[in-house]
Amino acid sequence: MSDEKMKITLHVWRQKGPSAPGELKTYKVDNVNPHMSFLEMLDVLNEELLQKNEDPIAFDHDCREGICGMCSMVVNGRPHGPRKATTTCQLHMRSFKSGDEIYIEPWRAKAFPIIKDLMVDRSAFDRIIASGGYVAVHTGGAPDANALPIGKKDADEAFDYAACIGCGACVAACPNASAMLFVGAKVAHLGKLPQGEVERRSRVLNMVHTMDTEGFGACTNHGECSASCPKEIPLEAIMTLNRDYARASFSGDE
Amino acid sequence: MSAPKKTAKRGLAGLMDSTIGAKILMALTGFVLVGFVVQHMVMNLQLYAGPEALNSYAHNLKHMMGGGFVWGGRAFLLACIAIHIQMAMKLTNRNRDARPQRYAAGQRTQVTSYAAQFMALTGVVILLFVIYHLLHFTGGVVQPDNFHVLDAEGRHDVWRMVVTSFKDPATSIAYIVANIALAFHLSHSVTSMFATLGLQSGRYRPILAKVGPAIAAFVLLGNLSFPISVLAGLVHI
Ligand code: HEM
Ligand code: SF4
Ligand code: FES
Repeated sequence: MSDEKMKITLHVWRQKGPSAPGELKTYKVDNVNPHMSFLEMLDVLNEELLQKNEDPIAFDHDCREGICGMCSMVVNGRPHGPRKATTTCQLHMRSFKSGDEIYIEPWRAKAFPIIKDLMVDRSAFDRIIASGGYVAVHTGGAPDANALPIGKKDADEAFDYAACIGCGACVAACPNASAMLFVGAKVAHLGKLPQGEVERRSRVLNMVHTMDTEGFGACTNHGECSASCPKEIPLEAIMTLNRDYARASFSGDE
Repeated sequence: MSAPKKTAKRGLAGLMDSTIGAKILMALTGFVLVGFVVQHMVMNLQLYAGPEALNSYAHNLKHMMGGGFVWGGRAFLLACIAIHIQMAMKLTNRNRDARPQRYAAGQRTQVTSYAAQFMALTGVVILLFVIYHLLHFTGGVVQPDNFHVLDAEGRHDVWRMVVTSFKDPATSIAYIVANIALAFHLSHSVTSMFATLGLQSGRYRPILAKVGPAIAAFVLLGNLSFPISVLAGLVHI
């Protein structure tokens, strides 16, 4: 791998506040080390902007290791950029070439209002979780491993669905800004486990209700969500959600 | 943050209030319409069996249960179309509103199809075509001279009506264009229907993914063959 420095042209969405008009602004970043992460490249640009007394680009980030789901940005038309199963913080500049032009925009959805530049308010997801994405149990001390037997297939599938980090890339990628993959991942994850079985019906009804009232779009089965998901949550999550929802609607018990 | 105190309505009312319920209604009404479209194409293959076959089929169908069967069927299909379109408009508007500001530099889609992206447009083309088609072959308002013809047994000469109509290239082209739109609509929607009904998971998924395009191709080939055979002189009076 070459260590040669890269020259990159960025077109970044700049927007001062939630209701301010925004626009794409062009920045040149020279001296980009190919081993930098995408966010480190933005850090370098922000240093330069600060030295020039300009407003740095606001973007969300926290763990920078692909687990918190904060680093939301659409890079060249794809949430989290060009690499499959990779969050923006785990994307490296070696995925680009010197001389590339890169467009960076925030998630765009009515339910995710822009706070500033690339930062959006994803608390709609928190409200969906609060309306049912949990199990109401006395946790007590840590239980013994395997005290509650769970079949391997169910355990594996629940674990795969539990990998969702709530980043919102599915909403950003969906032509309808639908949150069905996120909600489906939670419903499928908890529904696969005995601990989640108790509240299975009220959970799906309440989470879908909150999803709808938050203003997300409806699913038309494009499949863009799953293709953009950094954790590769499968589309089956949505089919499970549809089935659980229909079943719960017609069931009398909680 | 405290949990919101919104609880969903249960039962049919709750289902109908939700986006998933609206999709389920689209899928169920779509299922009926797909069934109709497929049998309609297959029955029309009787065009190739000649005037006797097609005309007697049409005659018997119209007089089944003293005409009650056709009228019942028409009412049911009309209700399905009305519900389907009502839900399509509701969801399409909602989906447009869900992203008030588009991506300034565009979105790069990875797996979706043209069929999936133009569902509402192909739907509108189908609707306009259905209206034209009913005025043409059911009502005889368009091209009444082709319509008001009886065969030797005094039955409506459906075979002659179809063949004379398709000899006109403009009419044939209208049917061909509409059926291409229908094929796009079906190729996405039939597979989508299984997903919406929660039936497309597990080991059936790879098969169901091909069912939409397969049904679309089947209906398209059959329906296009009618005007093309007439234009090519393979079926003639
Ligand atoms: C013969 C007529 C029609 C048939 C056979 C048909 C069939 C279907 C089916 C089976 C679905 C799948 C529902 C699902 O996604 O689960 C569907 C979806 C849809 N239809 Fe139709 N339809 C017809 C006419 C129309 C018309 C007139 C419109 C008018 C606007 C329309 C608009 C839509 C839309 C927007 C969808 C949702 C697409 C999606 O899921 O991505 N359809 N249709
Ligand atoms: S389903 Fe995937 S894309 Fe959507 S929030 Fe979860 S991790 Fe992010
Ligand atoms: S910053 Fe945590 S996932 Fe990217």
